[in-house]
Amino acid sequence: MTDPSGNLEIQVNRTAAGAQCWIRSTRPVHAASVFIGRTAAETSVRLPRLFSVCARAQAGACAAALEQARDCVASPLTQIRRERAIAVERGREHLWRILLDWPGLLGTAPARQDLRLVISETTRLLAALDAQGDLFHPGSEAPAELARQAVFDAAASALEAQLTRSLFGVAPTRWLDEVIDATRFEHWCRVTDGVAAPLLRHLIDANEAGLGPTDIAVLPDLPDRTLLEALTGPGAAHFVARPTWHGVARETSPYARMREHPLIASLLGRFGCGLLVRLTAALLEVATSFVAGTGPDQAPAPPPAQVNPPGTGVGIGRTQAARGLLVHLARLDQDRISDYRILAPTEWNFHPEGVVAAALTALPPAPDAAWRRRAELLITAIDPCVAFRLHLT
Amino acid sequence: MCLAIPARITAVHSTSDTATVALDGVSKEISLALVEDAKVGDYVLVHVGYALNTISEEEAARTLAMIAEMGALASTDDTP
Repeated sequence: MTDPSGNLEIQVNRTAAGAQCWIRSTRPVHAASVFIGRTAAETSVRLPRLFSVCARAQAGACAAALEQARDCVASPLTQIRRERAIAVERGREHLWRILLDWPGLLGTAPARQDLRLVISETTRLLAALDAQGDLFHPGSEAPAELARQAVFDAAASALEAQLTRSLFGVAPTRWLDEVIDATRFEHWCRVTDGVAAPLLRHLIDANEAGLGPTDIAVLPDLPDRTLLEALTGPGAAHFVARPTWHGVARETSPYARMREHPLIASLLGRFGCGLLVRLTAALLEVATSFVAGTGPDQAPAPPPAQVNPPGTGVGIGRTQAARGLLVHLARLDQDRISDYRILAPTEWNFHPEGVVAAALTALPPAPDAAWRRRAELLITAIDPCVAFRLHLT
Repeated sequence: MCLAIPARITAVHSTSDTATVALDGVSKEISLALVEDAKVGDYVLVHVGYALNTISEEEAARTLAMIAEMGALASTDDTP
């Protein structure tokens, strides 16, 4: 059977004149059209169950798009709770890669038991944040108090203890307060055990921290109107499969989000925009997502301006999923979906001329095994979400 | 957007914490390392070789029906 999740075929040809990279995707980028004809209510329930890997990010973008299409806005508290749930999920997704893949990059076993505990506690957190199960339904009203505050607090404590043991050596909040520049980061790498620090210090010691620099620009904060035009115009099908902005590929990723954070800015100055910075951006987001997801309700960003005058039945929703910006477009006709498009971060980052292709072609010459290991490090750092195969010639 | 695919467990291999699942009539080995108490006959969501969580048979059927519908649409879409 063909895997309906799709995969990525990454082909790199290396010659004396340099390397060339081709990326072919079979990801189901047009799958959202399956919701055409369904009601808005059914879509808001079924869509996150279908795209269940980042279900809260998908649900958040879907709810925002449908609410905008219906000319309504979720209450501030509902928006806050959605953002908290998406933050918990974002951290969990990074932990998938860190706990399963990072040990293998040093030849050690995946930390499956650690991840099992993380999944268990994040599941409890998410259930407590959305006890009624309707947080992401269009127009829902989050309750003033969490119905399961005690369960939430217990899960947050257990997750904090797990993150301390597995990754940071100290509580995530303390790590964020103390590890604020490249010097302190290097010290932390050298005195900490667990899953993350050994790999990061190995990259520094092996002079691999700066591998894979690229000149691919970060995706700017596009206005809703711009996204609407791209996602409904004659080139919409091509745009969701191979998106570009002003004719060139862009990057949307943890690095793109965190590049101005003091720690990442300091690491950029010392090591450049390479492997170490990318991996550290994901680690940093584990800590910041934990704080955002388990901390108190805080004021959200103001709602985006309406795309169209009320009554046009079209809406754009966006969330920051683990791997980058996730955008949904919904068009409603008599409360049924007449058009639905999803623009996912993997299509930006694994564009044939995007950041992964550029990073791979920037790798220095090396024997096959060493070159493959470094390439897999880079691909893992940018995280395709789906299975990939790397072919070298 | 990333899909996790529902699959029914046909055999559990407790020594290796793995299982055999049936995916559209094809058998596949997956890891059970991330789920608790999964047993033969349960439906699990599978993503990149791992069972993510168990789901009801009814939920699995609904999701598989949508995936089948997606496949039918993909054969006629305008993917470049």
